[in-house]
Amino acid sequence: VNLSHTNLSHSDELLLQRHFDGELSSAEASAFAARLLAEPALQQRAQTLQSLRAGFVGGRTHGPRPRPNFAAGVIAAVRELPRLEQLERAAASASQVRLCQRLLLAAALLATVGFAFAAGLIGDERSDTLQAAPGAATQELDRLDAIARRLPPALSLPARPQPAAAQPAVPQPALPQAR
Amino acid sequence: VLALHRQSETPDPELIAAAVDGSEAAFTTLVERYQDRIFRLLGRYCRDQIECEDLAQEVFVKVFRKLHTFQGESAFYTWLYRIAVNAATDHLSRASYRRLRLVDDDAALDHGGDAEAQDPSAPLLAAERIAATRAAVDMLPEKFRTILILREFEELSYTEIAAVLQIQLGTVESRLFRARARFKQALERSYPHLLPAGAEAAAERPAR
Repeated sequence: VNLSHTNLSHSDELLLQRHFDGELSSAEASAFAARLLAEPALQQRAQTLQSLRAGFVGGRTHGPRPRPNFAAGVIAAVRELPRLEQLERAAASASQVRLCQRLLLAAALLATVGFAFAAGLIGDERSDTLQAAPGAATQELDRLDAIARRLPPALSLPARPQPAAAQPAVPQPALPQAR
Repeated sequence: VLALHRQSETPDPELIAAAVDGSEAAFTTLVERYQDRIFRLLGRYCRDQIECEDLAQEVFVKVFRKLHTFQGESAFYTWLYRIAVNAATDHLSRASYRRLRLVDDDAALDHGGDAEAQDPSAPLLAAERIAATRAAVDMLPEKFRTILILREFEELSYTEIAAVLQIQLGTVESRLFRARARFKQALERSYPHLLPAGAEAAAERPAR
């Protein structure tokens, strides 16, 4: 962003700013003042800076002022500090105690559930896993095959692949071939 | 009275040492010495007198709590300003609004001075310029606003600003330059008639 829309170089812009803010040494300020007289672009830029500053200068003296007893109020607040710090510490301790209580309660609940499970008090009467003895599984498959045989051909299931020779004892009724 | 007078002349380091040792009187003197400046500074960030008082009290209480950590490497008031600026910017972010109108706008109308005798509209124009400046400063991002407040309202030098904001001198210079550019843009957008004729014409051209 160019402040002045002039063709000043950035270093000249910064030099002018330092001059404007009284940050140049006396030698630098003298040299720059001579340039300022000779260069219209610098003059225009200085004029812009001056106009931007006008509102700040006017506003310097404005603003809220402390009440006459403001310092006394601060001292009263300072006197309260030990009590406030004590309250803050107490609040922090209470918060930590509450946190510890909750952690202990959670740990106790977890331990109780774990103990009950390990002791078999929490049984798995309704197992969600597909576990069965091989004989029972074969029986169930046979029952399903029988149902399938009774179905109309269009609804019948494709032939069940023959189980491996691991269970030859149980006869496997053949399914009708689906067409 | 003599004791009070002597105390008001006591240098800051002595007062600080006494306050750290528990002297309420010394700390009261420090508060009274700097309260006007701190109020004026905080007034640039607050909406009203009450908010400003609360914030100023918070600042001085914080100063009391941290006083033992003051090493004296910088002037006391730059250390104090640092605490005040941090408190003000924290306050702004807590309240999640950008700073707002200053408290005492009507007072600007009382400052006509010699110009009033020459031009009856001068006080109104001056008041408008002050209000426009505040409004334009309020539009700026916090870091630009703060550096303009410290330089233009509080008249701190670059070195003092660097100490308050804990940044390098070069950063002060470049940030101030960018802050002024942004401030000028804000003023051009909302109050082009307050800029001089040359700048006003330039305002019609897009900023690069």
